[in-house]
Amino acid sequence: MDIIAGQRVGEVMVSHSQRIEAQCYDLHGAPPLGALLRIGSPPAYAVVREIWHEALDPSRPLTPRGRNLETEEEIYAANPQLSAMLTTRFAGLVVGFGAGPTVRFGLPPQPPNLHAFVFACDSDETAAFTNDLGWMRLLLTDGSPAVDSALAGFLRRSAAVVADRQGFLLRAGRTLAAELSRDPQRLQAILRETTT
Amino acid sequence: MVVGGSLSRGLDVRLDGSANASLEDVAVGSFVTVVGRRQRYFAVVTDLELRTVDDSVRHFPPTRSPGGDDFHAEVMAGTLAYGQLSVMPSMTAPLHSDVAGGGTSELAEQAKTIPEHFAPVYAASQADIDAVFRAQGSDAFSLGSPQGMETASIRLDLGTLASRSVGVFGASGSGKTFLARMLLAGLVKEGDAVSLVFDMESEYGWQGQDNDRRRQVKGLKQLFPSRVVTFTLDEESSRRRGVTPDGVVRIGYDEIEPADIEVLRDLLNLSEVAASTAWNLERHYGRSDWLRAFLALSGADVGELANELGVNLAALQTLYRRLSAWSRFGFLADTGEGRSSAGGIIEQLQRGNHVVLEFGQYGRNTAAYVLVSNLLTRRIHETWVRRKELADGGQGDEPRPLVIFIEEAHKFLTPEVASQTIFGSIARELRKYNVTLMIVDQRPSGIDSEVMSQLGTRLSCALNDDRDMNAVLMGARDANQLRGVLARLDSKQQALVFGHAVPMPVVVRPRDYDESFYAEMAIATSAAGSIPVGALAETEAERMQREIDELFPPE
Ligand SMILES: Nc1ncnc2c1ncn2[C@@H]1O[C@H](COP(=O)(O)OP(=O)(O)OP(=O)(O)O)[C@@H](O)[C@H]1O
Ligand SMILES: [Mg+2]
Repeated sequence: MDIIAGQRVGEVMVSHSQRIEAQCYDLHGAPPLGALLRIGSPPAYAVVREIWHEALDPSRPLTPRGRNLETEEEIYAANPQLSAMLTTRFAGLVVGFGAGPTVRFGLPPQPPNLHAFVFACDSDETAAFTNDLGWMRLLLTDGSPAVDSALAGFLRRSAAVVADRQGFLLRAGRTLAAELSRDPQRLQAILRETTT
Repeated sequence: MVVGGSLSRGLDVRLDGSANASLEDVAVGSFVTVVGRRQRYFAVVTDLELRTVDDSVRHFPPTRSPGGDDFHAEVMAGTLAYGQLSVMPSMTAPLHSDVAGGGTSELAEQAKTIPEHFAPVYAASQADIDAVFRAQGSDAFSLGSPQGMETASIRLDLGTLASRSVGVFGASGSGKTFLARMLLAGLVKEGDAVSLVFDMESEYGWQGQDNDRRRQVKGLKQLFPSRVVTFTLDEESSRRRGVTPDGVVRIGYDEIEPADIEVLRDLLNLSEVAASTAWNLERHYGRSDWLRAFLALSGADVGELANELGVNLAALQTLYRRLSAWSRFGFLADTGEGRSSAGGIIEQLQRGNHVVLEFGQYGRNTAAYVLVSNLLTRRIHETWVRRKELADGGQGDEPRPLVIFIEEAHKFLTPEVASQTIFGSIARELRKYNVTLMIVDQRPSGIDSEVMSQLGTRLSCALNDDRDMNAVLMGARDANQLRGVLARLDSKQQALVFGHAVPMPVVVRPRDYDESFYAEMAIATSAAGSIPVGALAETEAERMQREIDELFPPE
């Protein structure tokens, strides 16, 4: 399912200063890894760090249903109740917040409210985050191995839309290099994932 | 920008990755300017280094990205890995915001402070160079251009240079002679000091050889016909080269002292015993006659004489054999000639003329070179000492500052004999009597360290030998940092200059010794008004004869 920029995708279910978890309105309807999110009002901004699908009721584990079917789609067609039993959730790392008309990098004074609406950012909102990449260190300090891919995803998608692709990548790479000066391997892994 | 360092060790300057500065554009020895908060610092690059933030970069260097470009290297260069310069700040001048371009209006002085962290560093400009080298107007003597700044020029105050002894060093073929000849030309032009050049290879007086370009270059006499007087030890050779010397120098047998033999002991390959027998001879024959009488003996007589004097026969025979070779020295004459030769030279010097003594064929005989230059200098020095003492006592004028120029100094300023030669004492007494030395040498490690340490200014072209480099730098401030600079000089026509005459060490590419140099020298002579050479000046007839001889060299 493709997410349109500016589209509302779900609501906040768990909220920490530095991290939120949201549930999507639609099963399989999460914005991509590394996507920039706007949450609530006044807005907090977060980057999608992880996406997962699971049963709504943890006490009723899933079982395979497609042994005698040809395609995955047929499973959902044959079991319409599934979309009510299953859900998609995602976690975002908070990287900035709106203060009046401007965007500030860092953590907001209060975490987003529960049930705050979560939007996929449009390109105007994303521009503030591609012009200045200093916020990337907030992602790098997260222990999860998925953040590197999230970061690469953000950079790759941003590079596709900025005016000067090479210049942007070099600037981003240098910002990362300053953060990862003691870990050239990790730096190169992220760069490789960004450019391929 | 400055990222660390200390006054004693020098500053660490990180190359600005974003300004696209490349290590490859900065040569060791280059000039840079550090703009501090209140001061501007002038510094020389003494070392270059590739640094990484973390050692792991060495183990995981950037890989080529699958697209085949150098994206990773580009990202990492200037961030994880960067260039660092070691620079030595030597001079400083206050910053004035009112001077256009933030330049300096005052003269620079020794740096006793260092700039703060993160002060920006720039390549130096001509204005910076001038501030440091106290360019007293553009008429000061221009030695050449600093490293990496073809159009800038380093100006020297030759009066300061000549006020203390000077050493010009460098391996064979590195450009010592060309450099020294320029300095001498500058001294002649300036006109305050006079010089006496013991011209071993006859390359300063009339003309010199440019071996690389296979052509002749003008000597001092050609540049300054009215201010330079040439003498020769070897009229034959002068005539062969079509040069008419202004005078001929002779040395009397009676003027050679046993002490001269001591000085020549190594060169003549004499044992201590053999050399000391000269003193026995002197006692026996008398002070003025010993050498002539000794050399007049036949081989057999030497044995008898040894008996008579009670000295070792073998030693006396060796001395006899070695000194017999001197009978072929055409410049040795019977008596008193040296005194009058020296007198002639002194007279010229006192008139303000510079004197070049060409050795002709005897230049190839180091013993002859040392013997003659030592002997003449002794006499001239005596005169200067006497006149200086008279002047100090209120009688007569101060003698003119005199620069005595010698080559192959390591042959007679070795630790063993430096104390015995007149040059050793001149070096040590500093300028007490208005006499200083300019020594040119390719083996500075052979020179007595005490003499070396008395050299006010040292100019060193490339040297190959570690010991020679250490000797040149001995006693210099910041010798450690300069070592790296000295070791990387071009093999030709590039020199590290430091000491008395320059406010800070500097790598210079001496200017080309060519028409434009001649022209600069020439204007000065006519402007300053020439000093007549007097009786020894070339007459019109002599000049014509010389020119004819040059065109059709006599056989
Ligand atoms: N300033 C200069 N202008 C032009 N040519 C130069 C200059 N300096 C050096 N050279 C070139 O380098 C050559 C060697 O220089 P020079 O004769 O001064 O060397 P050197 O150090 O005196 O050598 P040696 O020890 O053999 O006497 C010269 O013949 C000339 O071609
Ligand atoms: Mg020479």
